[in-house]
Formats: sequence, structure tokens, C-alpha cells
Amino acid sequence: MTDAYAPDQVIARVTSLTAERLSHFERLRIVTPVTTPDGPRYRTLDIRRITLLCELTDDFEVNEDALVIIMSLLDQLHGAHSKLEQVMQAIGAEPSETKLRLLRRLAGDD
Amino acid sequence: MTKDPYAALGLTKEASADDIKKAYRKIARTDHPDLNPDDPRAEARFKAAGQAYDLLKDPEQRRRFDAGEIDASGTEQAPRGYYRDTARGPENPYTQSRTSQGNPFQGGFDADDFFANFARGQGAGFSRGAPGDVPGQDVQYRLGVPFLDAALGTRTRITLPDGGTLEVKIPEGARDGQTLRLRGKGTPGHGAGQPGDAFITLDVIPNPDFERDGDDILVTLPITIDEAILGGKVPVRTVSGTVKVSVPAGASSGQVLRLKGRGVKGRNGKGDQRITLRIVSPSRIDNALKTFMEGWRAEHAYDPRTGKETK
Repeated sequence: MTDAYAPDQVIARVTSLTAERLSHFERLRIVTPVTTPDGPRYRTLDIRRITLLCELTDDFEVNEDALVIIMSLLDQLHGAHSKLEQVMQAIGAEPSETKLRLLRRLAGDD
Repeated sequence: MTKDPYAALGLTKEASADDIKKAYRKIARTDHPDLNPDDPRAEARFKAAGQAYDLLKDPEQRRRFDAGEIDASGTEQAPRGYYRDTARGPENPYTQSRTSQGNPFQGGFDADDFFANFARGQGAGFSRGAPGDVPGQDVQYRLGVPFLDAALGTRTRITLPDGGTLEVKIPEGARDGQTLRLRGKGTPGHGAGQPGDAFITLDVIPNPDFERDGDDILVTLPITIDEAILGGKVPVRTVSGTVKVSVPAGASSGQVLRLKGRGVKGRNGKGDQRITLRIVSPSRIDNALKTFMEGWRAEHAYDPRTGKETK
């Protein structure tokens, strides 16, 4: 954990973030800090996620329910993409006749 | 950056404050990079519109721009990172339980079931109960684990937002980004519905003395000149305490010694500890050493740079 930010540092970095807002995001379970012996810590990924949450709230006036839904869908999208990437890498490591067979199957002429 | 912020928003100077807000939101809605993770052009459009909006949303700034007092680049900002840039990694803690039940790529699955269920994002064991029986939700936590605790395994607890605690067993050899699943520790279900699971993503806190490469532990061991020349037993820290390692006579900086089985527990047994030697000169070169070296060099000069270009 090289990039670890304390709550104060996160609030200082994200302009429209307040302590109340941060804890609100956490109660909604759309932000989950890392529990450490020194207290909660946030990583770059969290800071970018929080920035996005603030934008969705301020610029788009997304309400709380919609915010939770958007984040859930976004997380599913990124998760599915990351899994697909792993599958593609696994297929990429297979011999070329396997890849060819899969391509034909995907093209629908099996 | 676009020279004309009005153009970036598809407007003219006559636009009202409301028009500006509406135009920005329309572009942001369709082009926010995080809502268009796969469209690189969305970022350019969003950036231009965002900079234009930042300038024009403030009436005073807008007046000054219109009057030619400031130019459009007055609001140029350092490049920001978007969430999507970091969100795709397999270690993104927010995607751990959402796409499937745990990690479908972890061992011990039936290949036919796996491929059949993969697309639907459902693990085995998903069952429908009676109406009214609603399973509980999965809950995600992240836990920072000190390096040695992860290497050796430990028990710890997480304080929950509601004040309760959750007992967590960190397995020996736990990896950074690894997700533990605690069955039934999510939110309770309704009726006969099963409770959800807790997914705990581990964040290993680095240790200044140890590094990890797979199941091997890497350390650097400083040794004295005499230890390097004469060899000997030198104490070295391992994750499970200090042991003595034999430094061979004539050791060099960068040479790697291997302590078998002193790494962390992995799938294929324990890893090793790899020790990189680093020769450290004494902090003060006294006359005895200097005189000896001068005498020795006169008779026994050697060139460790043979075959290497030096100037």
C-alpha cells in the first residue's frame, strides 16, 4: 500500500468533498476505505472514485438511490471487463488450433 | 484547449447561465469518461466542456472572459486521473463480489459448470426459495494487513460501521489484493433467505526490510569487507525470526544467497528467502586498512571490469 491517504488528505484533495459527505458515501457502502491500525486509509483508486461520486452528485444532481445504482452497474461493468481480459489472456496462451476453434465458434459456424 | 469555451459547449456568447448549465450537463451526461469507459474521444469532449463550464459558470469570470481580461486557458488544469483508469485491474476491491460469487478463476471448479455459469455471473449453489425469502446482500470490506502478518497469517478483527466487529483469519502467505470470503457475514436475509457474504480485500502494508516476489521473500543483507573476503556466518532477519546465513568467502555485492523454505507458504509449499549481499565499507578508513590495501594493490591488482567498457 504505497499510496495511502488519511481522511483529511482525501478531503483536501477532492475540492467538493466534506467529512460529512465522505462518511455519507461510506454509509451508502459506495466507498470502502482500507481498515488499518492507523485508522481508515484511501488509495488513488478511492480518490478517483470519490471525485466521480462528487461529480455525479453536484454536476448531475444524481440522487442517493440512483448514485448507488450507477456505482453498482459501473462496478459490474469494470469487473466483467477485467474478467473478460483474464479470459482473453488465458485463451491467448492456448495453442493456435484452440484459438482458431474458439474463433469459429464465436463466429457461429460450428 | 478550445479557444472558444462557448463553442466547446455548442453555444454562442448570447447563451444564458441556464443554457450553459444545461449544455454542460448534456455533454457531461453523454461524455463523462467514467460513464464511457471504452470511448477515448469521450474524454476529450468532456474535458473541453468541463473547462468551458468551469470558466463560464461563474458570472464574474464569464464577464472578464467576455471583456477579454482573461483567456480561456486561464482555467487550464493539471491532468486529472479518471476512476476508469484504475478501475479495471483485477485487484479493484469494488468489483470483487459484484460480478460473480467470489473469484471464479480460483482453483477447484468443474470446468463445464464454470463455463456454463460464467456468462450469467452466477456461481454454483444459487437457489430460489419461496417468495418472501430474500437472500441478504454481500458486503465488502478492505483490510490493511502488515507485511509480516500477511506472511505468517494471523487473526484480526474489523470494526463495522454499526460498531460491531468481524473476526477475520488472515491465512498464512496472504497476498496483496487477495479477497477473503466469510460466508453468512453479509447482511441478514428475509424469511428463509440466506444471509449474504462478507468479502474482505486485503491491502498488504509494505515492510521496509522485506519484499515479496511470489512466495519468495527478498532482503538485502549488508556485510563488512572482511565478511565478504573471509566468509562466515552472518545473522539475517527472516519473516519467522533471525537465522545465521553462510556467506561464502570472496562474496561480492549483488550476489544472491538462497535460504530454502524461509519464504511464505504458497500453493506449492514454502518459498525461499533470497538474500542480496551488499558490501559496506567501514564508516572510517583507518591507517591500518589504508596501508594494507595500498601494499596489497601493488602486488595483486585485479580488474573486475574485464569485458566491460569503462572510461
